Amino acid sequence: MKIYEILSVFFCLSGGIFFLAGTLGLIRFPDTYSRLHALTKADNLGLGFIVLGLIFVAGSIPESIKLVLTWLLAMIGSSSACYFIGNHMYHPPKAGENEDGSGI
Amino acid sequence: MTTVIIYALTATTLFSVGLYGFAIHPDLIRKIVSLNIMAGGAFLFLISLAYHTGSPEVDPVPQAMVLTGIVVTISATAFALCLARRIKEKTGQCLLEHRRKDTET
Amino acid sequence: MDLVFDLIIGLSLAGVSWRIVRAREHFQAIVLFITFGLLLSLAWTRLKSPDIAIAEAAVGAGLAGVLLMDTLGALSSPRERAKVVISLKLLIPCLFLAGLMAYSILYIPEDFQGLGIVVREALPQTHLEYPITAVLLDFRGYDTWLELGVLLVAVLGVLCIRRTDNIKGTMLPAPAEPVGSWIVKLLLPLMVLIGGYLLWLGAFAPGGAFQGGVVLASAGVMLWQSGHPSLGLMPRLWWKILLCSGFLSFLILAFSSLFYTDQLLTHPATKTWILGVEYAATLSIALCLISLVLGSPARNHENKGV
Repeated sequence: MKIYEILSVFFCLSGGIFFLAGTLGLIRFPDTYSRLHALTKADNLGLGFIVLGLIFVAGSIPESIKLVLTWLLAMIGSSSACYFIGNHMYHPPKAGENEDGSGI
Repeated sequence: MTTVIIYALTATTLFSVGLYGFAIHPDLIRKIVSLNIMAGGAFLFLISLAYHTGSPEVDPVPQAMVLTGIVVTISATAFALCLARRIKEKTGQCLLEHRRKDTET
Repeated sequence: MDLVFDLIIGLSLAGVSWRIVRAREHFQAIVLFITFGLLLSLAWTRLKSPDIAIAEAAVGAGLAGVLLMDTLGALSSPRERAKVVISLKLLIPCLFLAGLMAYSILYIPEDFQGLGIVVREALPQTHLEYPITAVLLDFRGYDTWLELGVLLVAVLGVLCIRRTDNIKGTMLPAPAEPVGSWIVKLLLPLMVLIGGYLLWLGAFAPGGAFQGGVVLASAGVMLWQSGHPSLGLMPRLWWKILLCSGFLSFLILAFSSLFYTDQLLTHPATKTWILGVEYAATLSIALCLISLVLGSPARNHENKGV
């Protein structure tokens, strides 16, 4: 087993642990805000570690760039989705307005 | 081979669960969601059979059929949801009538 | 190890589908359905079908989720509870059906070859390198043609139900917060780029008209949801032309082939033809899907007080 593979397995496993912690937070935390906190922070970090681990075994430079891009996009997506859900909770729509909860 | 059996069994389960949901819910949205589950089961069955072939690559013809099917499913779903809205507008509720439900199922 | 992963995916798919059927609140059922779509796209990846995984993640989880949520918001209060009972009278036949279908799996011959080899042998004639794109646009061109027709009919049906000819529907008001417009500025160019990239990739790798069109459609839906005005700026005539372009290009292809052969859709096997049709199909798939989402009846005030 080469050193790259060992590093890759190590980082992927630590990413998995962060995902586990985030999921645990999602299930166990009492209200929406702390759940969002657990989800966005822990999962972004976990995804970052997994991407780092995969870069070690990626075949080429473009492949690693795509992996990093995936991570950045997921971070942008999850942070803005978190903002929309939080905003929806903090300023609930009035009864007259018809607002759905689907933050893309 | 085992992978195929796992996914084919999942597909049959999904199809029957979707069918059950379709039959039991009087509410139209839930019926539409159940139809989508049934579609997912049918697609999974097709692809697990395509995967099953002896050749190393997956059979491309069922894959193309499923790609087409996904787009057709979403257009049918959109149309059905639009009809559901219209029914709600006309009748004030979004249900199939109870009497009719009993005879149909 | 792979087997464990397959088992986990299969069991969670079955479990999530059962939870969807049993969920008390409609909202819960729809959120679970989005989860179901994502799990299904994991299953597609395991079954070595990346094309379907992309389409499923964008359509099954994304667009279907938006449509269902949107309709739920217009129809009822999301927390409305449905009566969920278990009816043995229905459950037993459904279980019986599942058993029968599972039993039929045993009868699939072991050395079943499928059509993969036939497609691979005929592939050089199409000048395409990727078999699925070749099947979609060349070997089974009829399917794709009629599928574009189905999309068009669905859009027309939605318009008929709404009794309007305004395809664009109602534009949402621009939101007050800055994050919405910021994310549009950031993501829209990337989504258009990825859609185009997938389309270009389709000639030789996983990707193609469907995946590209679906990504472009989700970009349009994002524009609509964020209340960005640019979607309304496109002239209605152009909208209609692009909506029909996929179906029309197949029609032109079929008709023009009659000039030198007796059969429909036997075009000269040049890459240009196929790619031209593919690009038109992408645009019209994207616009049809956007119109289907936008075309849902306006959420004006008399609808929802009922």
